[in-house]
Amino acid sequence: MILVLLFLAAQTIPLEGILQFADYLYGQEDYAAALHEYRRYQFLTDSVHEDIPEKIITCLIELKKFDEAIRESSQLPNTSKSNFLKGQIYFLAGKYDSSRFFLSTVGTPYKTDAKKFIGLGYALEFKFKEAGQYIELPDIELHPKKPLLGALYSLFPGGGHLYCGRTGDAIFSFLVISTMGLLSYYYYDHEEDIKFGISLGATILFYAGNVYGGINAVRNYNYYQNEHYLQTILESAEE
Amino acid sequence: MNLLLVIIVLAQPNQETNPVTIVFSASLSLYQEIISSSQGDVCNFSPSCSYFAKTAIAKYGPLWGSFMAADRLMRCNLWSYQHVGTYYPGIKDRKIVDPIENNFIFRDRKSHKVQK
Repeated sequence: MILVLLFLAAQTIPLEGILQFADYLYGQEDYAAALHEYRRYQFLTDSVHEDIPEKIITCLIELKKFDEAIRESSQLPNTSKSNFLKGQIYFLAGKYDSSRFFLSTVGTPYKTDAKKFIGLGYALEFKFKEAGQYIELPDIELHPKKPLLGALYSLFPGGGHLYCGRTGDAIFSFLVISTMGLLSYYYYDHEEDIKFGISLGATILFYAGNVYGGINAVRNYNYYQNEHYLQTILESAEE
Repeated sequence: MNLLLVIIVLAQPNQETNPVTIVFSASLSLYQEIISSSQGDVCNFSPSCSYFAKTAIAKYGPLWGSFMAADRLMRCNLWSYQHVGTYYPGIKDRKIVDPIENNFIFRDRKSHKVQK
């Protein structure tokens, strides 16, 4: 009986009431509930509301459900406005190639913002040269280090770390490898074959690890340099 | 001792067939079970050096994995904390966060910035 009453009550709720409630929730930034109500409205009505798909997409973006937002956006018409929105979704999903594809097709009044997104997309991929064609970049010179040089310097134990300014790691690497090397020589000198074999193996392993570490240090050095530069770009973009 | 080795090898989560990987993983498991557990939580990094080595060997093979492990062992020193923010992403529970995949040199590092 209660179920029947509830069913009848549900039938009497006007569709516009659902939409108003959804808009209210949207205004209150309760995006999960708003999304549910918009979908309910879409399910119950045949009439097409232009802004509902966009609001659904906004809710999905706010809920960080980017893949679902991308799927939803495929139903949007091929207009400047919706292409701008699609570009933004792909941008937020971290798919910068697809984002550029849509953003490059938009016209006024979205063109200026689209350019900014394209530039930021390139910057987030650390492609600063390309980013500079779309946005203004901070006047900071980047000095990336070369991984090959890192490997070459590492031929002397700790040299790769020293090249990247990691003096402590350089000293420690040098101490570890030279101690292992001396130990190997000691066992070789005293004709202790097994110990010599083990210590030589360890020396070779740590030496190879040191060369690997030299390249890794350069890679990480460049990465954090790019990250700090990107941070400056994002801060100036926010302003 | 042999029995312990067998148990440790059998306890490997992935069905590894490479004998070098099995030997490395078993030795690291032994180290973790016997030495590390009695030593306490002394590593500067998160994940710890032994876990790093074990995972790197399992994930990237015995060659690159052992190079990565040797590199990490030489980075685990008194001066490691100086490089937080310039080489390492941060500190969590007083340990330097150093994810394994960040140290694989053949992988392109992308920005972790939250776009929004």
